Amino acid sequence: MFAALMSTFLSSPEVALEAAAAAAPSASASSEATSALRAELATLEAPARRAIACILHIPERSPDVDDCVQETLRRAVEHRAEAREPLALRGWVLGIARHVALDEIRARKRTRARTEPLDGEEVRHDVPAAGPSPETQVGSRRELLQVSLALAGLPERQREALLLFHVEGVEYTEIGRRLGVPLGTVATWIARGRAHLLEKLSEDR
Amino acid sequence: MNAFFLDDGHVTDAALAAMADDADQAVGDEVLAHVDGCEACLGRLGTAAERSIAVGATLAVHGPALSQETPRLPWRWILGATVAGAFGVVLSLHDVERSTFGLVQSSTVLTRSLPLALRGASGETGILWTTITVACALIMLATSAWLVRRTSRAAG
Repeated sequence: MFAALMSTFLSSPEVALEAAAAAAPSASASSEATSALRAELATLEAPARRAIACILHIPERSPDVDDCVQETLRRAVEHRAEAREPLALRGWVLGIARHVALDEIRARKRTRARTEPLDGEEVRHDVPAAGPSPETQVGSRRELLQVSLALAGLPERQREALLLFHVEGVEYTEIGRRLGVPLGTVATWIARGRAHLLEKLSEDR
Repeated sequence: MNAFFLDDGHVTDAALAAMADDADQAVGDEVLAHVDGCEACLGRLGTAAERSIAVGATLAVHGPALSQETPRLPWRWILGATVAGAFGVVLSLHDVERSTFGLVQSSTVLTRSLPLALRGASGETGILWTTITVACALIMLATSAWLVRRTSRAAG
């Protein structure tokens, strides 16, 4: 039943909620709960849409935002038991919307990285690629040098936190534990390190 | 007041960086509530996510090279060598005239022996003569060293 609900929800959240209410085995209690959730989600769709559009920097009425809103509502229905309390439903749904939008940004970057050629590299479809061109290799080495120099300009622990997160994929909590600092400090170090790195790299380009 | 809030009421870049990295627990509910209701901060959050991805992509490309320790100058060794060198210079100052004379004398001997050694090493005259030439060069070097030491002692 849940799978059917989800597939229906992907096409229309309201239809899916009605289907859930109709298919619920216990009659009134479940139906009332679903109706309440439906009413709540209907009021939260607009703020979720606005939040997603702000994060993605695109208009509210665009296909990507529509998709993200659908995904937000789908996750909200799927995990509705995790909502801590009814009054916190708004924050909970907006939090989901935020995560969905951030996921969308990451997905876009991944797609772009797969489809776009590297800077200065011409795509030739008639000749099979035999590895990176000399220009690309030189550019890569130059960037490595720039990145190394930029990292060398960071305090040791900031650099360590940045590399742990981005290179080794360690989460904030674990970084804080390893370096013996609170999560807030980890966030500050990573943000500063990131800003420094981007600033130095943009100066060199 | 939460350290992640700026004076203008919005949240800091550090808070947004943490949220962009899915580390919501680092910033607390107050910050999350503000961002979810603030269009300016939501826009900055999107930018923070893009920056995080950009840095992550750059560091991931160079990850293997960067995971090695960043090369740094061995400042302690340089300092130690500088101190030792300065100590040696101070000690040799009282004997500078004699040292200079010895250096000039040994340079002359070396200069004379070098062409002989090169000619022998070129192998024009066969292995026997090469060996003899190298042996002579070594004898001359040893002699010059002995002369320098003797002259220094005599002058002292």
